[in-house]
Amino acid sequence: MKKFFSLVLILGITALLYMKRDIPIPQDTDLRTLEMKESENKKIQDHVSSEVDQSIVAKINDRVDDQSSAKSDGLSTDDIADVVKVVDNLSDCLLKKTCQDFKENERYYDPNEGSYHRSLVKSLSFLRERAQYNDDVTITPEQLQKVMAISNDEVQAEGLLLADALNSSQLVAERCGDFTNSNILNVLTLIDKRKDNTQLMNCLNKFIQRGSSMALYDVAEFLSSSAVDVQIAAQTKKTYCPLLASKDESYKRVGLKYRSVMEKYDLTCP
Amino acid sequence: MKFKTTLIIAVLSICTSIVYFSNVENFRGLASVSTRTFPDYFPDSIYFSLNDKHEAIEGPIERRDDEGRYMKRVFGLLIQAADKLAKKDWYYPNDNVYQTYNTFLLTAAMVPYHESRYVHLRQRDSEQCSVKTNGVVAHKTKEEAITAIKAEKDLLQKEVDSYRYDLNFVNEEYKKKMSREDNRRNRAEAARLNSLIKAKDKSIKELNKLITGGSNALWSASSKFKGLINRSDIFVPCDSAGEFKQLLFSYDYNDVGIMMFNMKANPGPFERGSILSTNLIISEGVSLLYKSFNRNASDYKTNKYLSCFQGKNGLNHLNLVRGTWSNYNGGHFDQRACRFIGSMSCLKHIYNNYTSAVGKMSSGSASAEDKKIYNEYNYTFQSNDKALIKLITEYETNSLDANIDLNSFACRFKENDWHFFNNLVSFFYNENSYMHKFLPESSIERKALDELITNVKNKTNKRQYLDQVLVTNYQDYLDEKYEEGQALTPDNNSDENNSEENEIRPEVIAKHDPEPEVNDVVNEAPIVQEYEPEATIVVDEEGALPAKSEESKVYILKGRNINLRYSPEIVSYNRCGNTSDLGGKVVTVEIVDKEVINGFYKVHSDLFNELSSADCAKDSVAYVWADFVVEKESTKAEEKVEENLQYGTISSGVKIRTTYKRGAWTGRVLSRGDRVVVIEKVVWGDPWYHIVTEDGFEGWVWQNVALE
Repeated sequence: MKKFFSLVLILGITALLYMKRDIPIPQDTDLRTLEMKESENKKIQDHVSSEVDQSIVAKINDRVDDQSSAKSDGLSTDDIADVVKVVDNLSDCLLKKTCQDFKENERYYDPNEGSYHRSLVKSLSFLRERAQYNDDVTITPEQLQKVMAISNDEVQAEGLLLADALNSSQLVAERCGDFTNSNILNVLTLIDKRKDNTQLMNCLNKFIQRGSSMALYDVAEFLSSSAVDVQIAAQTKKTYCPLLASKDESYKRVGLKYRSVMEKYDLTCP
Repeated sequence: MKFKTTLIIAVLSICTSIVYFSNVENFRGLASVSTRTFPDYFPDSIYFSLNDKHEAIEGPIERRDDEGRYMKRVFGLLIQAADKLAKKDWYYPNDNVYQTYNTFLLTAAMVPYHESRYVHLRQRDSEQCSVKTNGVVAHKTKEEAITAIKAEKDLLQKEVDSYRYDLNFVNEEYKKKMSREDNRRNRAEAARLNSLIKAKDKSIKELNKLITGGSNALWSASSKFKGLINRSDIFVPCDSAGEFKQLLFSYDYNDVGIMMFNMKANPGPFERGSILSTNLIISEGVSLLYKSFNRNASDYKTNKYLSCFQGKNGLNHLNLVRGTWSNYNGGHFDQRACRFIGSMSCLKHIYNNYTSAVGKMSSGSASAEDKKIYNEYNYTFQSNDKALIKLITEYETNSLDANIDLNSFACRFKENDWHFFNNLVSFFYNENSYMHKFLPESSIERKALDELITNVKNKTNKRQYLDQVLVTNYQDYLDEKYEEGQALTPDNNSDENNSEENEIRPEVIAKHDPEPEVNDVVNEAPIVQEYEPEATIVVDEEGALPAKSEESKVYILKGRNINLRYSPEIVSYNRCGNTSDLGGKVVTVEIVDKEVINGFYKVHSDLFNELSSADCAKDSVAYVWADFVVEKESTKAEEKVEENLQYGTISSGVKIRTTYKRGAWTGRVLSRGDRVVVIEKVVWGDPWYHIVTEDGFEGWVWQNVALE
């Protein structure tokens, strides 16, 4: 009898719990989460959309580089300001790794780089070409520095060219340490024209200290083709001379490349 | 009974055969097995027929029974593209630095084997023009149909959204305290809504399939072509007789051509139209490969993500090939370079367990688990594939000594990497790739291929045939119709080239002459060394291919302030001038002696007579550090308007591109005030300049050059 009542009690409690359950219908949790995500996404998308005219973005994104269109695109100064906003938004989200939160960024996604750089490159390229003909490209030094901090060869190269077009190559010198190995020659060639040996030496050291044979090779290439002060070239001996004896091809070639620097500046290795 | 069954089977077999052979495509496939060439191993439905008149179409183009000639050119272009990129960074043969360079040549020759079996363009008659690809030409009709389906899908989606809203409301109600009757009603309503959502979702999925699946996969992919696919000036339907030039696509129509460029990941070749040129797309594909190759080979010691390239004695070159392809296939992140390596660790783990089990079996101490491992893997480890085992021993420091069929392991490679690995084995060890099969055995290119593989295997640098490939002009004779037995000769100086038939080229002999005549006497009149071919070494079935004309070669001194010396050594007293003394002119030179002495070339330039020091001015000859002498070849551009070497200054920042017509970006830029040597100017809409930078980098820039 006791057993029977115990069973009835258990069944009663179970039934009560069942009636009181919070989520009675399957999929409800998923549904609510989905709704929440959708509303959040909506919020983010609205935020971005309200900032820039999307037709301008489309126009820039679909254009082809290197064509005589920058002066005849028919874009107003306000439109150019919108392009700057796109640059800023994309730089921000790339640095914070949040671009995927913006649904509209899908069109910018570059599976080859695994990121959203293509549109940024196109926008920067457009601004660079625009700056040749108009003086309405107003991008702040902070915005340019953000662009240069993005570790992508083409974005940085465009950032460098835009800085040059806006007479801001000083920014490149200040942020040279942010540039990828592939851009070393581009950066050093630009800085060399500033005729500031301290800045040049500072950047050379930053690249050399990376230890990468690609960085070392390109620094040697730069020294051998430019005409820097002999003292600057001489300071690199300490790093490069030992590489002549390296057994590793990737470093030995650096030493061999350095021989042309030695020939040019009359340097000798012990 | 038995007879009846046999009869039924026989009748069924006959019917099946009739049905099978009545299918034209199948019949054609079977009938042509004995004569088909390698591009025909792919179905006709993944070839798109091109408008013959489109200006961007450029060979090599494979034609029936012409595969040997096609393969020779593809091999030549691949090797030349790879050499152009890797030589400046990785090739110092006099100092025994060449292994990484040779590995890149191998990578460039091997990757398209994996990607496309070397197919890009083929020429076929209308029988091999698949009507399936007409869908592309009929793009707009298809687009209307798909738009209608999409509208239907959107309507369904709205219904589903509305049901979900109601369902949410019911859920909220259900949470409130309600009567049993209300609860029952709510549950019933929720069940009804769920069922509706399920049904509509199913319909949406089916519509999605209609849009992207089956025959519409082609349309779906083609919508990504943007600006290329909709153009009837490029693609033509298969509704006429005659011959078509056809471009290979992947089975899902997302990737194209010999390097299988993905249209979404690499839209550049589609925007530029270079996808229609075998020659240009080889160049762009090899450049993309080099981007990762150079980074991985350079930084493997300093970048934690590239650790798979560290071998016992430095760089592991075969892993470098695999990692380069991993990047090519999966994106150029450094984190992706070593994605293939995990499976090797797994394999090694299994092998170690297996050898341990074998030991315990022989000593009689094996556990049940050991026996299980032994039984599971014994057959595999005893099967025979010597090529694979060689590769594995390269990998795993000689710890694996059995013959392994990697396919049978549970921890097999990710599918893509595994296929690439197999193709690498086929190319590198088994030497039975398509390149091996279709390059004529007696051809220079085949011998060069063998030379290259031997070089990478043995860490040697034999160059007899490779050097011939590098000086052969595969560019200008790409599409010449080849008649059997005809030697390929250039139009303008065919006599000269005929005389070279079957002979190794003089400049190649010069490099391999065991005792080259080296004239190191200072202040002697400039001597252009003439080499006499000593023996017929190579017999190419087509005769000698045309060599690049020596006349088109331009040598200039790159960089600023180059020392000129009267003897080949770095000492202060032998300096007879500096290029800075030459009034800012571009210094073009002739190489007097191709032998590099102590790192120096002996060169002649008329400008040297302007030097104040008689040591070099007298005969206009000086010694210049060989790195500063760069060879520049003039291109054949129809629109070319001038060809004068002169300096120019960059007026506004520009990217350096591989060619005019918006070629691919080379990775280099020029900023305002940079000085360049202008080789030529081409007007293609706007002016484009063929330039060499001060550090000797060559390319094309879009306007923005002020000629000095």
